[in-house]
Amino acid sequence: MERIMNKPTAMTTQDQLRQTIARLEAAAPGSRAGGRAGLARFGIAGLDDALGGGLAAGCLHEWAGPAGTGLCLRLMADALPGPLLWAGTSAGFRTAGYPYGPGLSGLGLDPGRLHLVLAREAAEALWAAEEALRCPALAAVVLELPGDGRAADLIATRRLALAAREGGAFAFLVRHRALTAPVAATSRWRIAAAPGPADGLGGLGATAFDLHLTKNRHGPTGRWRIVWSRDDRCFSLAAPPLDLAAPAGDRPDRAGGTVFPLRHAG
Amino acid sequence: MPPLAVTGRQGNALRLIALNRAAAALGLVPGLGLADARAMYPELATADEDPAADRALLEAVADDMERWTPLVALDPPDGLLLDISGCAHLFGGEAAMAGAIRRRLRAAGLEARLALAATVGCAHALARHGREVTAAAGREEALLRPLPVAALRLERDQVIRLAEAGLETVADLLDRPRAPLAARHGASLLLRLDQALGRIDEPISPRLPVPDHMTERRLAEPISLEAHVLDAIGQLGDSLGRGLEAAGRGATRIEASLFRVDGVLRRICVGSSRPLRQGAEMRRLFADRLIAASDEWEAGFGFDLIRLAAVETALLRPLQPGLDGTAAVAADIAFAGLVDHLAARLGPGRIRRLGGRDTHVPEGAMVLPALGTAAAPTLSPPDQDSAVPVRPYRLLDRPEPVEALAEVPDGPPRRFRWRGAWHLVTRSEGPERIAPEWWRALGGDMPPTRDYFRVETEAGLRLWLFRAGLYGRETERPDWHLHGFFL
Repeated sequence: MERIMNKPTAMTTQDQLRQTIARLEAAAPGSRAGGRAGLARFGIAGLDDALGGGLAAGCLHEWAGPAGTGLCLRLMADALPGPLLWAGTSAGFRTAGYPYGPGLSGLGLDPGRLHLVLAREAAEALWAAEEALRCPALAAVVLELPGDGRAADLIATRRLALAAREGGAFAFLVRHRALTAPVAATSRWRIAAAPGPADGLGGLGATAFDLHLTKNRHGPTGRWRIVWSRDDRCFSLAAPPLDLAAPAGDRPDRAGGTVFPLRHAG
Repeated sequence: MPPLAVTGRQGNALRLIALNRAAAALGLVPGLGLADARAMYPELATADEDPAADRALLEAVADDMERWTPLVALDPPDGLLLDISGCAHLFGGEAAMAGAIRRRLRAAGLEARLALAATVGCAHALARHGREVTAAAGREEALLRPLPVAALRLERDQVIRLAEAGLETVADLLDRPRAPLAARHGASLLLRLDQALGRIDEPISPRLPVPDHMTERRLAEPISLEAHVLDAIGQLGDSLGRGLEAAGRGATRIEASLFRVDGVLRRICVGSSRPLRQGAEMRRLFADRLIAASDEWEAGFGFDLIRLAAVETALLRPLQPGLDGTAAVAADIAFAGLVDHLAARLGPGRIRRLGGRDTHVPEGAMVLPALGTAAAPTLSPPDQDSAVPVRPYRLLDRPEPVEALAEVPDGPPRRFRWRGAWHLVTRSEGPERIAPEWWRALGGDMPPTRDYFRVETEAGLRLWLFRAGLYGRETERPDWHLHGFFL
């Protein structure tokens, strides 16, 4: 900055570009024009803290794993008011299933809020999601891409992230398989189904997810196994974090307990 | 040009259907057997008839005729009816208009016979059997009198019977008492006669419904650039909006007709989920539509007439946002704008909402109506009652067959193979028995009863499986299917 001040007449193209980038980057998620700052909280202290309070609206979050859509919808049940848009391809919905109203009600989400875009191909779904993200009326946009969704590469996700910043809605990108290429998401997750804890009555009990936060712009990465209770409609921690710097509660058992003397059987 | 005849099969014989000028000059007439014609003129060239192509040509010409009036009706096989009431003065009077139409058709290589009369019947008769006249109003009877009775659009056997009775011209009919004519030749004879003379009103039925609100612009110089066409649409939209405003309505479906110089008509239709009046908004929707159909953009030598019509309209009440509800109204408008924007580009039916239907069959309760259709009822808001059965949040519209092994025939599955991989069931809940809607299957095949199980696999997947058919009662080998996902 000082260099520019000293030589106001000889501003190079490079400097101009730097300024432009700085201006673009300056619009932090919290200071959007819409002023619709929102956080989607898991309700789990360690997890929310790692994210800086929760998943931020106006940012792009990437989920790898088909379970991502269900998790996003659970988080969106009461994060922001307004309609939700779920964009995907026709083929994707055919194989992974269409959203089912009675089931969504069970997640706490009003099915009347949800709107679907059945695109012909991934590129079209991407376009629809980007246009939708620019609309200030939406609460969230979920873009679901079958396979590893390679159509959503660095450039495409950058566009999504900018559109999300403009509109202020939650932006979720769900791939069915993880893509290792870099993307411009604020947070990247791998999500998998996990065996739920037994309810002691022989039934299914609560639903469990394995979360692996692989990229986090606002804090540390980590792994969690979380449990969703259908009755209370809330998340809780199933087991201590696996490799977030935390009290080592998950080390192999040390010697301990009671020692039973063995008796010779004769 | 050598003599050429188009032939077609009538009854059991190949007959001449149409002739070119050279063939007609030889003395051939339509209806003559091909064998007879060949016997007279062995060198006669022939072509098979193609009614579909004739129809397509007639439709294409009708499209182009819409530049003169929106009320164009087909008069197959070879005629078009144009209702030009109130249009002629726009083209410098009836005679000038007829001349312009004739020139346009001739430029396209078509020979046309035009007649302009106050009734459909009279115009039809004059164009085919009489002189071409452009100012027949008031002189119908005098002009019709010398024409043959066939000019009156009668049935074939009616004409034959009239000829047998010695009645050959319209004058012969007019001079007879009406009652015996009706008794002998049918009431339809008098109907046709009265229609031609204007004693009975006969409206034409236009090919397309005529919109209440439309506006058009004739361009002195054809335009072909997409941006120019869109600008013209935007300006027309504003003037369309003024008409709609006077009627207190807004357009929910707008059609743009682009008339190409060479006679091709391109219609583009866009829908809107809320009534529109602003030209700029209409322009945006058309821009989306054109991007979606970019490969079809063939401007040729350009468009010289652009018409914008509000095909469907809806009541548009002036909105007065409340002191506190301003933001909510703005958000509604923004969302409606987004839906139109997406729908115009992706095509209709690509934007859906979740609807519901009152049935207990799981896939029957799922409907995904396109946005903007109010037909399907919306779903009830989430029910807090814990007695509601647990349902998956994603459902396959067609349950996928799986290969499953159960410990006992009517118990939950132990292992199952789905999409090529085996899954071990660790826990399950069920069965929840869902019977088919027997009252709908009366007389038809009844679908089997289903027993649904919620299962969790070793990997933690939560799925909704069902066994179709009651073991021992409905089937000996029940089929297993996967229907939904809980995760």
